[in-house]
Formats: sequence, structure tokens, C-alpha cells
Amino acid sequence: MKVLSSPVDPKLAERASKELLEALGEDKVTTNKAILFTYSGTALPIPKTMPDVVVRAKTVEDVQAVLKIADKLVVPVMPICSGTLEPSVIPKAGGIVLDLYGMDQILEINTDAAYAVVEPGVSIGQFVRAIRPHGFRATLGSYPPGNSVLGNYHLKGHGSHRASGIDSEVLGLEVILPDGTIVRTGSKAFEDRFPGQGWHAQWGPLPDLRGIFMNACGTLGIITKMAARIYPLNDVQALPVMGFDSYGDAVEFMKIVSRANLVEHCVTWHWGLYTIMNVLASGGNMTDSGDYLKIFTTEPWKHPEDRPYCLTLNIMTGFEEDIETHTKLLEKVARGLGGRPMNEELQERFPGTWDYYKTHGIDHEPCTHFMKGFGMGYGFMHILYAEPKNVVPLERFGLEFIWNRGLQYGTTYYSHCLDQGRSIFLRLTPFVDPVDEAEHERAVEIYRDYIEEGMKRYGATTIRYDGIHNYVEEAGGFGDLMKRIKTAVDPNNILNPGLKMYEGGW
Amino acid sequence: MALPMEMLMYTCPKCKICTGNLHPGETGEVHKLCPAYTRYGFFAYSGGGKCYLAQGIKEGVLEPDEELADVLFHCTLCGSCEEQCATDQSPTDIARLVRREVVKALGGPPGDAQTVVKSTVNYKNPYQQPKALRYRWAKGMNIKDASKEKVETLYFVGCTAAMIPARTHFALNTVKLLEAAGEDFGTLGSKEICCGATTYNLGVEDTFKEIATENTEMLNKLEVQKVLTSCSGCYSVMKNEYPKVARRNFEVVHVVEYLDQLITEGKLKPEKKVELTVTYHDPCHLGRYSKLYDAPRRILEAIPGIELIEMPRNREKSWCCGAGAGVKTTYPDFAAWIGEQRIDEAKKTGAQALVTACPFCEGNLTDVAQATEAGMDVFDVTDLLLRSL
Repeated sequence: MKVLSSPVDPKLAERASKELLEALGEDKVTTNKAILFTYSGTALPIPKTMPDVVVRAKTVEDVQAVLKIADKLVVPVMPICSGTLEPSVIPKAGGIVLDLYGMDQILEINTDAAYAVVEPGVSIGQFVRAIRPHGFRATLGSYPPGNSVLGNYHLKGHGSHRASGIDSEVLGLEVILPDGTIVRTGSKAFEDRFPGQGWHAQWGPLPDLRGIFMNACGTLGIITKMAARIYPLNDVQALPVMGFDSYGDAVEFMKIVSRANLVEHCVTWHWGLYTIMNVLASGGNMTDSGDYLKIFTTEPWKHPEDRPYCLTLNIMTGFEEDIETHTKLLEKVARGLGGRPMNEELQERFPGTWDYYKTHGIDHEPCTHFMKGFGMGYGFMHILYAEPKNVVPLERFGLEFIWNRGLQYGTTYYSHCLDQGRSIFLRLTPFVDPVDEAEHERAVEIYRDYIEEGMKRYGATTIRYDGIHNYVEEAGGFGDLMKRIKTAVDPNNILNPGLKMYEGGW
Repeated sequence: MALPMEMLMYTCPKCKICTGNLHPGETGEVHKLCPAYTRYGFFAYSGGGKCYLAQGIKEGVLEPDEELADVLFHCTLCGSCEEQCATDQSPTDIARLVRREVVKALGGPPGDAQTVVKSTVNYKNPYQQPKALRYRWAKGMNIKDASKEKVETLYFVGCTAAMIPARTHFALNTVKLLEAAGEDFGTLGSKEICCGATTYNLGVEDTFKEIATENTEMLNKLEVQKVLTSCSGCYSVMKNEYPKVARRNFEVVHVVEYLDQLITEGKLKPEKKVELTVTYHDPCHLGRYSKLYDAPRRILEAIPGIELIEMPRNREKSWCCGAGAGVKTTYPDFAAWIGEQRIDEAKKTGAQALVTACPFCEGNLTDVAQATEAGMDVFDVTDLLLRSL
């Protein structure tokens, strides 16, 4: 495990720490090396870097105080909440780690306008449990209930309503800029002039600045509040699952059913993934499972004959009559494409997988089922999304590309339908031994090459900044504008500069 | 197959489930369960944080120095992180491993905990009390000496119930209850030695192994069938850890388990009314460590007049009393803070009294209740059971 020293001049770091201590007190500020190390990185196989000081903010005023000191002294600030494994939470530039997990209040649950306002430290488990008594549910990703709602929602490619056309759960944001300015987006922009204004609209009369803070990973401001969409728990929650013997059939199915508004969301699981999930969620250990071994020994583009190549999960909610009709239509479409309904077989043969699906898609609860697998190798995220006609050959290309490069562990994936099938998200997941450094390096190399090849050959794009690629430079005029925005908003480049989002990556 | 500890150290996803009850399917309020993380807020204090500290030590990035020790020992090893962890990590075991490294490097645990260790080595109790005073609590009582005559059940009193005057009621009550039930039992009198739980939790591995071996060999030799403990720390360490050190030929039973059985068998009949509304505090070593949740509750429910109201954080999700793993000695303010949270929670239930089943828990909770003038009585289960006979 590589752990790099902070690149910040020690004298400058000391001065920053002293000023932060004076401003916020030792309860919120620490330079204890042991504590600093625990903020140096994540379980991702990316080298860690020691920060110089950690501050745990409790209020917006704390955030403002930290930013003002950092901006004055030109010391990097990297915000962090909980549970994200994104590269954006590795303090590669050293400096200040701003831990926002202590800001953990749900400020408003607006059942009339169907949104809730949260601070960064609110976890998805806390959120779901708070809105449920009001008859509401939240959109969920494949992350555990301890994770920050804000930390995850503000990243793209997330959520269980994506097939329906809702591309983001974020209605509005409150962001603190390096000079302490408070920015509120959408309908809430007029807070100072019209304090009664709520967060109900993503847009106001001006351009939608919310978008520039999304996916920005703290490089343009520190997000201190988020208004998130919430959804009613309707009469019936349902999850028809269809099995297909090819990914292409599954993609076609997702396109048809999402465009006909039959589902809120649909997602396709490769056989390797639903097989692993069954072992994990049934309480078994992967190393003891013959099924698990199949993932190592079978080329992932071929599936064992006793199970479909992939399953498509259809998250549905509504009136009973609607669900009944829509389920029949789903089955009809699936059969037309050579697929078949799988619910009964799934419950019988893959009860652990079904339990996960049910918890996620019917109970609308954030899950922990997959987490036992973390000890057996870490899921590295090879995310690309592409137009339907391109994502099908990309899937085969990706599986072969990773398999043939010979990672020690198996590779599998899941694939989401975005925006009624205009775009299809494909996340390949090779598992990487958590303690094998050479394997880490190979995994990163394979990841880098796969993303590049996928973009070049299949017109795909990736969904989040990974710290590895020079997306800003490659994005032409868009990238140039982003640089100008960054310079204007953060002239001293104190906001998460270690990510090197605007300088071409690590 | 258990995952190798080394792998676990590296795979914590920082999801922070270890700090609260966030598992799917749960309803109601989300509770904070990790005292150290709740109080200090930096990730290092959480169960996940302990995994990262272990990584740092293993990789040679962190020295097992006083700065690290200060974070690491600000933890009661209450086990709530382990209970919650969704990745099947063992943060509590990992924390103990790191404690051992720190103890090796620094020559002992931090602060006043060193005194506890020295006292355990020199006086066979953590309280710097002369060995001869161990049996003072039983003055005037006629209890069989198990070292001289064979008994089926040995009552292992434990250092706290034997040597801390305010806690000797645990021992006195237990003896009276066993006598009332007509049980054949004895004690070791002043020959009893510490169970070693404190040294185990402080990471003083060699001393713990010596004590565990000495106790196991001595108790094996007496050929007792059951060893009965009042203290949940004694119980947990003898039941769960001794077998890892030496072959144990006796069963370890906590007093509440035993009394529960005596009530079921009709040997104890709680008939007098004890008009009291109570709430029950699960000692970590009895609950999370040993999964003994029902017996104390059954006893309370068997006592006429007692109304038991649960605190929101109970059983597996109980909040620690604050005393354990050297915290009360080393960081008394932190111990008091943890205890205060518990007393506040107990008061909010509307209960008149807080009941527990461990002299160590009772000690810290009583100290806090008195210091804060909380108006909350703290009892052991045996106090109330005895009143009802």
C-alpha cells in the first residue's frame, strides 16, 4: 500500500492548522497523525495521501470559516461525507480534509411538493427511514445505508428512476464558494429576497447552475444542503424479473418497456453478478461456493446452461390494476424477444439474489447484501454509457478485453437503462484482491485502457471523473469553459485540487 | 470460512454502518451506537477507523505511539461496531490487535491503565487492593471454601463485586439467593484471582494468557461443573476467551442465567411485590459478546409489581455504560459522558430505576447518576429479585 506524504509546505500546513484551531477549536480540528491517516484514502486500490489537518464541520458557518482560511493561505480543501469510494475523496493535494458527516440533519420533508432537504452527513438509511412514515421512498443506488445521500446523489449515474426519464434526484443545492459566498440554485436562488421560496423547481429564470456542481466532486464549492426528490409509496410495489439469453435482447427489452412508460426503472444483471449475489446474500462464503468458482472458470460472455445469461429487473410502483396490466405487457415483450419471466425460478433457485432484489426494488430499502463480498476482492468500477446499438458490442468487447488481460478474479456487470433507453449504462466489475498491490496496478491499467477503447470504438462516454483521464482537455470548448469557470469561482485552486480535474488528471 | 483478518483491515468501505443501526428493514429512529465516534466525530474513532489504524500500523505508516494510542484507547470495545458491520468485519478484534501492538511498543497501555495492569500483576486485582481483602465482603457468612471441599457450582465473585464496597451487594445478594434456592456452591475466598478481562481488553496479551491459564488450571483441578460469575466481563472472558488459551473443563454461567433457571424450576419464588417501573441496561459483555439478552428480562418480569420499559437502544443495539476496556480509568470524563447519555435515555423512558447485571456497568452508571443528580436509582437484577422473596 502506497501512502504519500502531503505535498503542502509543512510551515504553511502548520499555520493553517493553527488558524483553524483558533477559529473552530480542538473539538473540530485535529492534526493527530493516526486520525489523518484514516482520511488518506479508501479501500479503492489507489495510493493514499496524508492530509495535513482534518476539520469536522457542524454548521455552514464552520464551512465558511474553513474556506476563508484555506483561501487566504492557499491550502487545499477536500470535502468528504460517508461511504463513497470515488477517487474524489483521496486528498492527493494534502491540506485540509473537511469532514461533513457531522452535518447530519434532515431539514425538511415536504410531502406536498415531494422533496426533502438534507445536509451532507445524512445517510441514505436515515433518509429512507425518515420519509417512510410520511408515505414516501427515496431513489436508491447500489450502496449501503450508511452512505451519504448528498455525496452519492450529486454524482451522476445514480438512482432507481432513471429509466423513466428522471436523470437526477437533485432538485437544488446550497453551495459555499471559497470566499464564503452562499449559492442556492433553482427556485431557492431567491431565498435572500423572498425567504418563503421553496426548493420545488430545479430551474429559475436564469441558467441552471445546479448542473455545474453536480459531478464536480467539491472542485467548485462545498455543498452544504441538497433538496432531493422523494417518491410516494403507491398502492403496490412490484418487481417482475425477466431472463434473457443475450445482453442484446435485454437492452432491446429495456428500451421498449421504458419508452412505453411501463416501468420506473429497469436494470440488467449479468449471470456472474446474480450468481455472486446469491452466495453473498444467502449468508454463504464465496470461496466455499461451486457457483462462485464458475465465475473464475467460465468465460463471462458464456453462461452456464442452467441459468439465463442475464436478468432484467423491472421496478414498478402504482395502482394495483396498473401493475397487473403492465406486468402482463412486460411478459409479452420479454417473450417476444425470446426471454421469459423469472420470478418463481429466481425465488426458488437464487433466494439470496431475490432477497436483495426484493429489498431494493420492492421494499425500497438500501441494501447490505453485497457487502460481504468486499472481503473477497473489491469491485472496481469500469463505467461507460453508450447508445443502445453501441452498448451491445461494447459489452462483449469489455468482457473479452478484461478477461484476456488476465486479472486474477472474475468479471461481471450490471447495466441500467437511462432516460427511456436513450443511453445505456454499463458497469463492468472485475474484482480485485484488496491486498495484492501488483494486481491493483494491473487493474488500474486495464481500467484506463478499457475506458479509452470504449470511448474510441463505441462512442461511449463515462459518467464520473476518475482522476485518471484528461476529460477536460478532451472535451474541447466544454472543457475550456469548465476551466474558465473553475478559475473564476476558485482563483486560488483550493477546492479539491488533488483530483486534477482541470489539469489533466493524476 | 472466516476471512483473514489482514483482508478485513483493507476492505472497510467507510460506509459507517458500524456507527449506527442502519440495516435494511429497521424502522423508527436511527440511533448512534458507537460512543467514541458519537463523542469525537472523526472517522478514526469508529469501528471502520480502527481497521484503517490497523492498516497504518501494518504498513509501517503509523507508529504505535501515544498519539495513536490516544485514539485507540478512547474506545470501550463495546462491540456495537462489530454487531452492525455489514461486511462481516471484526473491528473490535482488530482494535484489540492494534492495542497489543501499542502495548508492545509503549511498554503498556496509556495513562492510568498502566496502574491497572501493574495492580493485576502484583495484587491479582485491578484495584490495588491487598489480596487478603478480597474476602472481606463475606465476613460473618458461612460459605463453603471450594478449594477445600468439593462443590458443584463455584461462585467466582470477581474483583469489583469482591473489593469495591459499593458493589459488594452483588456478591451478598447472589449468596443469599443461592442459599434461598438451596444450591450447593462455594467460593475461592481470598484465593480467587482476577479473571484477566481488563488485561485482555487493554491488549496486555502475555499477562492475560498467564491469568487465563492459571485460572483455568485451578478451576479444572477443583472439578467444579459450573463457574458462576456476577460480572459480565468475567463471564465473557472466561466463556469466550479462556478456551482459546487453555482447555476448560467447566461451564461458565452468569448469575442471571442461573437465577432465571432457578425461577423456572420453582426453586426461587418471587412473590413479594416490588412496585417499580424499571428499564434494563444490557451490559456489552453479557449482551453483544455473549448473546444473553432474555434471562435478565425474564427475571424482572417474574417479579410481581415490576414494570419493564425498554430504552430505544436495547439488546444488540444497546448503548454502552462507558466503563469498559480501561476507559473509566484512563479517560474518566469520556466514561462519564457515555454514562450520562445512558442515564438520560433511561430517564426519558419514564422509568424510576435503571437495572443492569454487571457491577462494572452499575458502578459507572451510579457514579454518573449521582454526579448529575439525575434522580435515577441504579440496581442490579439481584437487588430486586432478593426484595421479592
